[in-house]
Amino acid sequence: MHIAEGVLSGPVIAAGMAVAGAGTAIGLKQLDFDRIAQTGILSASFFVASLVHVPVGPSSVHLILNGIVGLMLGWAAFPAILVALVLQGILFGFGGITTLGVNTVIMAGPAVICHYLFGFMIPKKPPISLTAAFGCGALSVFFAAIFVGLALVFTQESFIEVSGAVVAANLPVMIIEGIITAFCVAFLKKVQPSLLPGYPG
Amino acid sequence: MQIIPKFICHRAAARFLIIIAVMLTPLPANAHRITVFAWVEGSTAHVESKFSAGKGVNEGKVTVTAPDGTILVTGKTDKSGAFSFEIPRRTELTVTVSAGLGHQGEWTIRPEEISETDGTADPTAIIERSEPLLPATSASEEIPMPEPGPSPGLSRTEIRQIIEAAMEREWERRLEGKLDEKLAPLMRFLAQQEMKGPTVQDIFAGIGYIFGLVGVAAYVASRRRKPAQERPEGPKGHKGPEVPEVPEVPEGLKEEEEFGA
Repeated sequence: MHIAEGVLSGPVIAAGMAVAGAGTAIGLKQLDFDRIAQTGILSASFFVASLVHVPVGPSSVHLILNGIVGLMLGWAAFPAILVALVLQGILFGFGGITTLGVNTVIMAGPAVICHYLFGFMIPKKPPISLTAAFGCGALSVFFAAIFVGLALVFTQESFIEVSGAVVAANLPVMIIEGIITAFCVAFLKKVQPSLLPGYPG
Repeated sequence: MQIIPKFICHRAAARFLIIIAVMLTPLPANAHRITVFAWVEGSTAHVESKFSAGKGVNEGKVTVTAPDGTILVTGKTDKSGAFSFEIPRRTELTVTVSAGLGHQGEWTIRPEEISETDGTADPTAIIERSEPLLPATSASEEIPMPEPGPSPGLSRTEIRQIIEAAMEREWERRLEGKLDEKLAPLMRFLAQQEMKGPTVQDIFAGIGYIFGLVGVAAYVASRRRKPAQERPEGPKGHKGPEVPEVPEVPEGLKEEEEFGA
């Protein structure tokens, strides 16, 4: 999901930076004192998750975990993911510095979307809440793949082709992340529901 | 909520984090960053490209561009991510390997790395030029010329200078060839090093940075929060009943122990 340096055209990079900046501002504004530590830990999880690889045919893809980050953080997913991406860029060489904005939007955008799509279903009974959690984990990866296609459509390859390829490559990741998200939600519902959306803090 | 469940909650949350950490333990695999490394051997440039920590870029699109943006060479890498091409001319060459879907990497070959003879199609051109005067091969055998013979228009010293220059060039060429040969394994080794994936240090450095940022954020937020703290506690945050003081060890017991000792 990390788009490398030198692939994107100028306007796409600028647009990505603008959107990522706005998202981060909203996220920081909404971030209250009690959730700073939680944001940091999820940011660290996201940072490390990219090293967990799932072999897919000749290539391999890595976990993203933007679903659970978005579900638990809402808009604060933007600063969390931005920080993690900066560090992945510097330390791992994933993505790039100019493409930071675009990559942030690619991964944090779906996170926020899924937060609002599924967040309200989390406090419901287990069949519904677990399905919602699975959907949140899987769809946030799916949307990220669509976003990658959108970002690349302006530069080189055709949208359907790219998005299709990214979605196909990430199908196992979607399933795995759906399961991880459902597992996390089930666990947190039992022990600390206040971390989840829809519960009184 | 009571005190005990709250206590368990914290432990459970900690366990949850440990589970996440275990799930996220990095596995040896590959993806996502493409590293490209290219070196020159004679008139050929070798390119190696890999995803971070291992696998070669299978059928990656290779483009070699000059500084002015003209595309000089295009091609595809083999299964191990390797590609070789004849150097078209002596200039800065930017080798880009793209695996599609926004993944690509590049490496630049500087003109200094390409030896002068490599850019030309025929490395024997120099020798040919000197041939009308004296064959370079025989010239390298005998440096002191016993009898130069009659040479119209050229003095002895001039001939000697020409021969020496030709020999020097020949030497340089051979030395370069030899050096390239010897250095190739070293370059390959360097390429491998260059392509190492993230290390444990990188991972911990990143996590450390994030925790540090959390600290900074908490500090900033706590400063912002101070005036607000003066107002009475709102309904937010459940407060259990007061924790009863842990009863101290009865005096009698203490004394008994002292007596025992």
